[in-house]
Amino acid sequence: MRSMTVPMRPLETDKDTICALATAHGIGAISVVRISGAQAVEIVRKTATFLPEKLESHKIYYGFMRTMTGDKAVDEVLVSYFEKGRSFTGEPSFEISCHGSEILVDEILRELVKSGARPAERGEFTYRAFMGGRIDLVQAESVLALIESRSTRAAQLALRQLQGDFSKRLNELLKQLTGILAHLEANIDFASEDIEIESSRALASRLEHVLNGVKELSSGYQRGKIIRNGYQVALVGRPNVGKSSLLNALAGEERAIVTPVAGTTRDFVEAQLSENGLRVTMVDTAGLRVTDDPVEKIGVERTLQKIKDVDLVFYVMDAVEGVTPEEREFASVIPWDKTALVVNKVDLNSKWKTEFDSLATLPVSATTGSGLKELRGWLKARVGNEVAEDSTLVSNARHFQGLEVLAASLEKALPILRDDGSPDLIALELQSGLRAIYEILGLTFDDQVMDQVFNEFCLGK
Amino acid sequence: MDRFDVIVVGAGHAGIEAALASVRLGQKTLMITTNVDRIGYMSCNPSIGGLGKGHMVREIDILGGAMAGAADATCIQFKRLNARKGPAVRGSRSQCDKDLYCEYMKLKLQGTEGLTILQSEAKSLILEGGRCVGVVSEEGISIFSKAVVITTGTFMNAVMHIGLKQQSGGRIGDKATKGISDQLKDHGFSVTRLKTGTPARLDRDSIDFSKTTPQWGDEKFMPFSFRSPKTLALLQIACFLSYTNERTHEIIRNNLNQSPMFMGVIEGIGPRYCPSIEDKITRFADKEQHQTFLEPEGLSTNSIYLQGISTSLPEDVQYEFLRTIPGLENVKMLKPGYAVEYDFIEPTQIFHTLETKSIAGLYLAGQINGTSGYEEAAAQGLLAGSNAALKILEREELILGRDQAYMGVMIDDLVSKGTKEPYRMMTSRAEFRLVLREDNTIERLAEVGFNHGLLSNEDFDQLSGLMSRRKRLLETFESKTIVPNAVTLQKLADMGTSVITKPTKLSELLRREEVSSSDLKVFDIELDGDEDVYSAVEIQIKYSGYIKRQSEMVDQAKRLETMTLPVNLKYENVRGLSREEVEKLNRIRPRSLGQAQRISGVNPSAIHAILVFLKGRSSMEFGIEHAFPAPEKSTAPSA
Repeated sequence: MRSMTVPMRPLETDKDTICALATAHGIGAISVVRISGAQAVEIVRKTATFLPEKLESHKIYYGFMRTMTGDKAVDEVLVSYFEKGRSFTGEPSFEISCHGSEILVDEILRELVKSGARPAERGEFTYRAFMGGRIDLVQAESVLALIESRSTRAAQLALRQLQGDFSKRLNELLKQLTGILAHLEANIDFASEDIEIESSRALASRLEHVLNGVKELSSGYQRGKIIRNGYQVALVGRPNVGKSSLLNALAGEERAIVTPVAGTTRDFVEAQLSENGLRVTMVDTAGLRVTDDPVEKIGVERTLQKIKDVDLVFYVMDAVEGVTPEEREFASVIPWDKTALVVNKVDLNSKWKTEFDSLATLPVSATTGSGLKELRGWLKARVGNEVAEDSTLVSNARHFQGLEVLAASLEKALPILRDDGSPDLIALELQSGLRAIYEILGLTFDDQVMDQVFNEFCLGK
Repeated sequence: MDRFDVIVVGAGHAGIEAALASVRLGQKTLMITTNVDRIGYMSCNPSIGGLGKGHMVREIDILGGAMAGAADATCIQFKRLNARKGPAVRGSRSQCDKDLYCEYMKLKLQGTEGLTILQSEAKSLILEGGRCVGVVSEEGISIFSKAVVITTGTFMNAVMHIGLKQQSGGRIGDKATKGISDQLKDHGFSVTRLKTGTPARLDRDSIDFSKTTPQWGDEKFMPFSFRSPKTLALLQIACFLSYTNERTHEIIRNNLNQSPMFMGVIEGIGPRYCPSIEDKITRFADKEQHQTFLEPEGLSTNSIYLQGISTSLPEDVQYEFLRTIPGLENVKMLKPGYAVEYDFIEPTQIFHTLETKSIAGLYLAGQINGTSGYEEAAAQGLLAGSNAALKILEREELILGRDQAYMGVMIDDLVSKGTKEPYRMMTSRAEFRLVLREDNTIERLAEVGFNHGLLSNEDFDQLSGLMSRRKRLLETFESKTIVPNAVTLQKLADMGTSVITKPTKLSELLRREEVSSSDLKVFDIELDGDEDVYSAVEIQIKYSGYIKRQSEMVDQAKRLETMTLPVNLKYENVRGLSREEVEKLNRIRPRSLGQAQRISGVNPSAIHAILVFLKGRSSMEFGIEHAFPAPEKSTAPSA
């Protein structure tokens, strides 16, 4: 387990009733303010005097919120009430829908604070839900992912995790693994009884099945990461082949400074596109060339680093000049397996040639716009391919690491099991595997294995 | 009556160890039993040890207990279970002559200076300001002491069931004890019922053994006690294997309406690992036969124990179904099988020292805490007796960790989780099984035993000698390197193992499956010929990779184990705990965060909450990674 610094909420403030704007800042049709805590009812009543004596959970009440002093109305609102044990946090909660104005929202929050609530810290509602045992760790994480998601696909993924799809898959694996372990444990503790323990071969094939399941889950991580963080494309090439012009043409606005002086782009300029419901970030990079200019040198180094991190490289070359000898110097640092060739300025030379026949080649002209549509089409298909599998569930690095630990221990157990090795050694590996799942889910190891032993075998000395 | 330091109520396996430990620590000790002829009596099966249990017998031995020596001296069949499996799960079991076992223990106690044995019944406890200061005997005599250890086994308010007939009693021929459990109940203890059962005892002369398969023990004897001779004292006998069949099952099925278990007469919960035959054929209806071992209960008795067939059906039904089993066609029973229901004290009401939380100076050990088995009882008795004495002496208490001993696992399980069925030790209960082996019991516990005063100088010197010889041999294997020259390669070929291509340590060679430590003699090393030395070293080397990984797990777990919790922590003040968690934590009062985590029904988020509570306002590092980012601005959108 990695450790990280987390804010510790002081005891007395944990008892507080908290309030915060639940919808985005800014102007919208409506905004929602959330209140949660033991004193929620008492506090909301002070300003929402229209609430009836007896509140019903999951009901919406309409009325005018007033200031604490009651001297003026603040807004016309809809108040939803969620009783203790039936709200997201598990505490008595309200959601106040008001008109979407920052000024109004601030005023409502101010009144709530005057009535005894405290502004919530970031993530505090989720924190309370977790502390209250309402959601597991994976779900808590997915709530945050959901809020932070910046594309529809990312939101869907987070939602699937929140609904517990990932937890469900993990629990299935947990169950299968526990079953195998039960056989091994029975083989140890009840060896002298006439119970039928599955053969090592049968257990090995069951274990292999689990391992495949784990691998399938973690193989979705790359996809999941793309869905969550977006897809990154770097525009790379020697100076002045028109990378920045291409970026601007794609983004439809002047994002990069485009000048005829080579080496202008020393920092990264980005443009956001949306393809297949995913966020695609195009990154313009400093031109690759052998240089003595220290600043430009740094730019080249940063470009080389960037190339490693991105999901795709568009290697941009000049249709007029073709491949230059200087360019060849950089050939070894380009990750060709994730690179497509973009031949720019084809309007100036229709007889262009490349030396990379095996690469996907996209002829364009950033100036006339020819070929751009085809490039977008190609990119869309490529992105679509990367995230085609819709069952992806893993996008969080912590989960991925846990799955890696799990897979590693199962891989160690498998050969011992196949060799009919001692059950205690196999059990050691499987227990580390179980622990990895428990850690992902935020559970701990308990007596599940023994319970299964007793359910499956007829024991009795 | 004189004034005593410690009074032990009961003379079963727990009572014996409690009394002996107390005396060893210099306490003037009184043992009260209702029947001095039944000291150390084996009420059920005739063997000591088994998986997890055998481990504990060796632990008891290193902590100065008597059970190991008694099992060795009276052994009539010895078996090493799982001998071909990994080192952590090999366990010794000794079938004993029951009468000789009792005799051995009785002599041992009678020869113990500082111990008084009284035949009587303790009717009630003398309580003074929340402390237990003695007991009142059935004759009405008040006997005072500084501490009392209760080890009454299955006897408290015990009821025996044979068919739908019931009678008071904890064992055939012995009466139930009354008074103390009611007194504890009145004091606010949660007292509930458990059930256990025992099979019929058969007359050897009425059995046709030719229809059964004899089962002999191992040739090689490995005594439990380091004090015992390496050779067996008694004649070794065989047990006999036979099976039930469809007819047996049919008779039982047809008579379930006379089974107290199935008719709901028994309210106590029985052990899942030791179900009655009624239970077996009902729950596993598709099994066509069940095995049973016919085990002689001694060399000079006709009594045969019928392992695997515990029952509480009426006597005539028992006869009917027994006679369908091959070899038992004309069988005569000496005693029918029966079930016993008894009071037990929910063990979450005691501390790791086995002292009760609500009455100081009162210790509980054995089946009264919800366990089953002689070994479990003895282990608790030893710890209870020691802790009673250590407290009087104002010395450090004796608490064993889960990474230190099976005894530690058991006590921690009991006091943290409680138990719903009779608790039996199994290796799978120990999460650090690979470091809790039979072969390293001395390394784990000798120093603990000595430091707490449970081992004499003489014993400790002997054990220290053994440990340093093991260490020396280990160093030899780890320091001596062989090079791949012609002589070496020939030696390896003779050994039947593959060649080496670079200089290799002997310990690396020993890690090969086909190489044993005695093979390595050809490399001119001084090999300690004592099996107690080389076999332990061999295991340590052969399994070093696994043992190392397990040790790392132990270290990880230590983090939470070393975070101690204040005994007077008021969990209702900890924000984020459910009512159930508050109730459990307040009741169990865990010693450490690690223990808190093991309490069933206490969620991981609660551990987090307690950590938060203890650390108060300060930011801190801890290992539960989660998704809550640091606060940024106070009115930021929250989810």
